[in-house]
Amino acid sequence: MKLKSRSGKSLQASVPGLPSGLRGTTLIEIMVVLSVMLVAVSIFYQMVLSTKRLRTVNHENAVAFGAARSIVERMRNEDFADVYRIYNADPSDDPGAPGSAPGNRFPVEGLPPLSSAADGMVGEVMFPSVAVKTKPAGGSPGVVGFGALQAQAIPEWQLREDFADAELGMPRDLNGDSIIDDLDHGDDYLILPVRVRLEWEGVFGSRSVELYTMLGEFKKP
Amino acid sequence: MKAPHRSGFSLVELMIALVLLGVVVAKLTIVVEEAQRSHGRETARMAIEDRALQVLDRISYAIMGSDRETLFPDPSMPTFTPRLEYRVSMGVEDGQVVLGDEEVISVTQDGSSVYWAENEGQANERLVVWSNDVSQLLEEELLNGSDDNANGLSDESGLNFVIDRNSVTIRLTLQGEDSEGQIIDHTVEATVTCRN
Repeated sequence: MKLKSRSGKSLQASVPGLPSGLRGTTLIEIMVVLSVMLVAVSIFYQMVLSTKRLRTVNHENAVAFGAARSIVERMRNEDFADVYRIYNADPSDDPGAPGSAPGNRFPVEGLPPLSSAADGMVGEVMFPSVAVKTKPAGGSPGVVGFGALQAQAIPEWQLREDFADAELGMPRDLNGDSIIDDLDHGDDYLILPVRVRLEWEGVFGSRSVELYTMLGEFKKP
Repeated sequence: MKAPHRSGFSLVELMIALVLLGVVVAKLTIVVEEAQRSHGRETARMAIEDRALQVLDRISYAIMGSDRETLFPDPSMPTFTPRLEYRVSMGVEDGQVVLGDEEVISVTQDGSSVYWAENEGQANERLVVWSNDVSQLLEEELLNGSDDNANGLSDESGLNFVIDRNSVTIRLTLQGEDSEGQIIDHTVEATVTCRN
């Protein structure tokens, strides 16, 4: 914008000779100031949002770890020799009737499951075990590789000392014979490494936590 | 003598600046107020949740160290108790487990406070109030004889214990107000197993 005096002389702010104390603020200057203010406000708002996000994430973590601790405490409540059979993925070896135990998957109130979780569960209990064989319905067991389980076949899980998982402290001796072998120790373990994994659809995307522990049998004198 | 030329704002410039300033100030006010409200709500919720988790941890550790045989009363689903007495194992002497003094975790008669006491009602009583914000009933539960919150219990108190063999499930609802006076409930739950 160009201002002119009555004599037709330009009165731009940059006109030399005009006392600086008499010059006003140009629209550009105001726009610059407003832009700076907007940037400052947006930074402040981003900070508030990120604080809220952190709070949500912390809350989800607290719920997840609380659920993981509770499932471990429930495992401690069972007879130690039955813990593996109650909480593994194989319903056929449950104490009592097949399928009567809670199994290795569990829901958590307040944490929605991942869309990829077909059973709608959030938590999973994991042992150093592998599915090494199948028992086809009506047929004799056939050996297949892990992950190559056939439809209609029932996986047979084995608790193994040679399972490789550094976070579970494996491989290691589970039955106290000082030998790490490739046999099933589901019936004679003395210590039981456990991993509890929770995966859920958080407010800010899919999230997961894991908890590791080692169960053992402790008896009063 | 001619007056010196003075430049300033035109009315149009002033109006544009004022309108822009007004819009910015209005938006800023809305943002700041909402941020303050949100911060107040979140702070209050966070405080209640932290207190609830703190009390839950205290109760959990107390029960973990207790001797299962000393737990009293012994309610199993669908019954519960707002009061749990127990004794802690102090060690073994001459092959015998030595137990500590009788301890109790309970809510006060008005149901608003949770406390821990040792030798309750005796001359050497020790009593510590762990929280004064306990809700009368667990979150979403109504005093109507029904299981409103679908946890298998009816009309359960704000602090309650359910025992299943060696495990104790603890449920606790704390209640507070946020910065706008709105009631906030926060419920925590844990299952612990007696180690002794």
